[in-house]
Amino acid sequence: MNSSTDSPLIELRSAVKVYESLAGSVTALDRIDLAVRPGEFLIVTGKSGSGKTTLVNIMTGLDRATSGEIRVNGEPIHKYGPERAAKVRGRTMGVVFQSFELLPTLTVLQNVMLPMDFAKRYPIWEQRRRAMSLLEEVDIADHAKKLPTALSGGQQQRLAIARAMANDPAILVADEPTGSLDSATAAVIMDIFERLVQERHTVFMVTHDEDIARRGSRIITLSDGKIIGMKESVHA
Amino acid sequence: MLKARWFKVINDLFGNKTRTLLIVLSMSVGLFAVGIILSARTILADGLAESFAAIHPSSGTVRTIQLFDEDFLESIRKMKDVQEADARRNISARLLTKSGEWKNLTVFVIADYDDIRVNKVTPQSGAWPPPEREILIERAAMPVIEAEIGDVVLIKFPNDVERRVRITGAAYDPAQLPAQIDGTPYGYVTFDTLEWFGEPYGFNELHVIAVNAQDKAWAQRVVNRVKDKVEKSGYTIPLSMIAEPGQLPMNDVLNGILLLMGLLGVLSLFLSVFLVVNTVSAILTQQKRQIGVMKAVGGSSAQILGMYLVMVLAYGALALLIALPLGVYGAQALSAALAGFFNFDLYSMESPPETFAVQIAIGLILPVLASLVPFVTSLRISAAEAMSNYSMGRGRFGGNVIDRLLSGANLWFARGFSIRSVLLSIRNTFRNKGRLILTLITLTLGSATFISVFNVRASLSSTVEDMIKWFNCDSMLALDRSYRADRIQSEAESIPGVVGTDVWIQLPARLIRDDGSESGLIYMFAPTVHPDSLIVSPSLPKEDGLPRVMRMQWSFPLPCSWMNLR
Ligand SMILES: Nc1ncnc2c1ncn2[C@@H]1O[C@H](COP(=O)(O)OP(=O)(O)O)[C@@H](O)[C@H]1O
Ligand SMILES: [Mg+2]
Repeated sequence: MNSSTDSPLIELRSAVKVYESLAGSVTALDRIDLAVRPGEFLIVTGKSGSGKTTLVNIMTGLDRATSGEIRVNGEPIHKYGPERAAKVRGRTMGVVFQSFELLPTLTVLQNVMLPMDFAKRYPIWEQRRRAMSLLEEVDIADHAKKLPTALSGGQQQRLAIARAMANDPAILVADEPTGSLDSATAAVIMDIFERLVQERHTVFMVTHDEDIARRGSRIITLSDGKIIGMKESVHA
Repeated sequence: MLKARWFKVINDLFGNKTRTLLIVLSMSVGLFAVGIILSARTILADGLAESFAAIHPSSGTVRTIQLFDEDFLESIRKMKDVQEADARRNISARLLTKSGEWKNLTVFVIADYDDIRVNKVTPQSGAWPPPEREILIERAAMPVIEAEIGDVVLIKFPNDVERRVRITGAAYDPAQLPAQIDGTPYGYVTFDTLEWFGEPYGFNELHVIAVNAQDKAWAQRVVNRVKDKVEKSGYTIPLSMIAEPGQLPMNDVLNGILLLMGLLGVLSLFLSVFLVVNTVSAILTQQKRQIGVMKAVGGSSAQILGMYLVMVLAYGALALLIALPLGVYGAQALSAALAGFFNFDLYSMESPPETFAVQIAIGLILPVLASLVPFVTSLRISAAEAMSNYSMGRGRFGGNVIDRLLSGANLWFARGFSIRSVLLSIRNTFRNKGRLILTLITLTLGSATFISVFNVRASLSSTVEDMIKWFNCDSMLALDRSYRADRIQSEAESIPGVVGTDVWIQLPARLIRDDGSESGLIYMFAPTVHPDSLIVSPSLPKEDGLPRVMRMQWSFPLPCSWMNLR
């Protein structure tokens, strides 16, 4: 058996995040223990303010945990500075956000190529070819030369997914990817995620929408920074 | 093929053309100013030095009242430590201009125009040497006397002889202060022509070059020895001048102008650097989220910093593209204009390569250095914070006095009506204090530049006005020798229209220092101002014993060499 089916892709041990602000301190995550297993479609759900975004931020290394351990592919990113964490993220994770976060002055194609440029994993001619095929997978290859603002919301989120998959990451992390979309468009995005999981990718997704959450293979419920429930999906 | 990140840089640059154009133009103004000053300095300095060396400049000039001849000149040439000497006749004549005004004209009479050994005069255009009964005019003096080559002008000598003389050429004499600066035009004739004016043969001006002329103190000692010999030979010296070694008379003025312009150039450079920092800060604030996204998709701070540095470098490079060629043309135009004004020839119009090196260094390095601080501060925040909506103003507003004032909490007088929206806009202004301060500095520097330029102008004209007030007379006559004051005053006052006169004596003097050495020439003016004199209102200090002012007692009748008329 290879190690990737054995050990978790991402592992949190007693992860705590406390925000200090003028209004006082807020414990957004309270001693979270969690492991993302290879090949699963893990969905975290919870009400607004329950700590979902904070969870995404610290497991991707976009922000530092206040205490606790975070391992990505075995690497202890809680010990790493932001630069080294960015490297690990670039290699192993693709991130998708609620409001797409595309770069407005790059074309659709260039948006997909940018993470490959930063990661220096593929030669430049390969980057272009790869980006085109990723765009074909999410069905927006026709728009490759347009600017992102020329796309619809659903198309923009599909572009964001293509960009997240640019460096062929082990895991796709998505924070409310359907939060800005109508339910029909959201369904298309969920279809893409399910297809990725079928293609043996790992997807970790956060949503406040319980109907959408049901499509995950494992569902975790967060409340006030604590995990209050977990269930394996029937169709997993 | 270009990497994706450079497409972002290019698209950002050309996506906001107005911003790019503004910043590039402002930077190129500063760089242009630096280039123009540096190049013009070199071009002008080289031109001055070459023009100067070419004329065999004198170390000193000695004027005599009695005329001397070639034999005496020969004896000066033979003196120890005198490298070269030459003589000419200097006559203060007058010339009737086209507009009917009698203008002063200094006429030089030179024995052999093709063998001038000191303070060389060279042909510019037209005849050379001056033909008999014709005159050459210094090229810078042509506009002052409102004449051209070929014109016939009426010239009047001190002996009252008037002659119609044709101007047959222009001469170039950089040793003299240009006519449009001191108002005295210069003409050149031969001794034959002088005879035609009824003046006797002889020289009254001696030009001397000391050996080792670069040493000013030494040269002055040599000139002093020449003066001793001249005086011992029975000549009276009304006037002598020591030249500043290595430079033409207007060197200092020119350097002053260049220094002023250099200061303005540096100021505008500072302005453009502030503008760069300001713009960069604005871009960074605007793209804060994009920076977070680039980090989220795996970009390292170094990679992102590189992108923004290239952007700033591109601003600098575009500015240089404008500023380098314009600077070359500007320097040529400025040098030509100043050389024309100060009447000397330029030998080369080449901008020195150091100018380009300095411009490129400033254009590329300065903006990068200046924007490093905003870059590093905005790259230090975490990707999550950069992309979070929480970070907007978090911890930025509220703490200090200004913030508390603007919060509106204490404004009891405002409770009755709504000023919240006003406060909100003011609060937004103060949100990013760093940028506010930068904007203020930029604005302040900009206005300071303007104000200082206008102040210098205003102060200059008010100084000139004060000086003119000081001489509260309509006409000043410099007399070629001393006269009895009472006699010429009564003669002058008998002329209808003259309401008052006043006489001064001007004496050349030298200070004897304690160690016995002599100072340079000092002109001592002894005003004979009556308490009721309205002509000159000297603000001479009242108390005795003030330095640099000497009180003198005269018993009438006074000798005088100046007369002021009103
Ligand atoms: N940057 C921040 N500064 C201060 N408090 C924050 C910050 N980000 C989130 N919080 C607080 O942490 C808690 C969790 O927020 P978040 O993780 O965004 O929840 P969710 O994504 O589930 O809506 C909330 O109470 C929120 O107010
Ligand atoms: Mg959230």
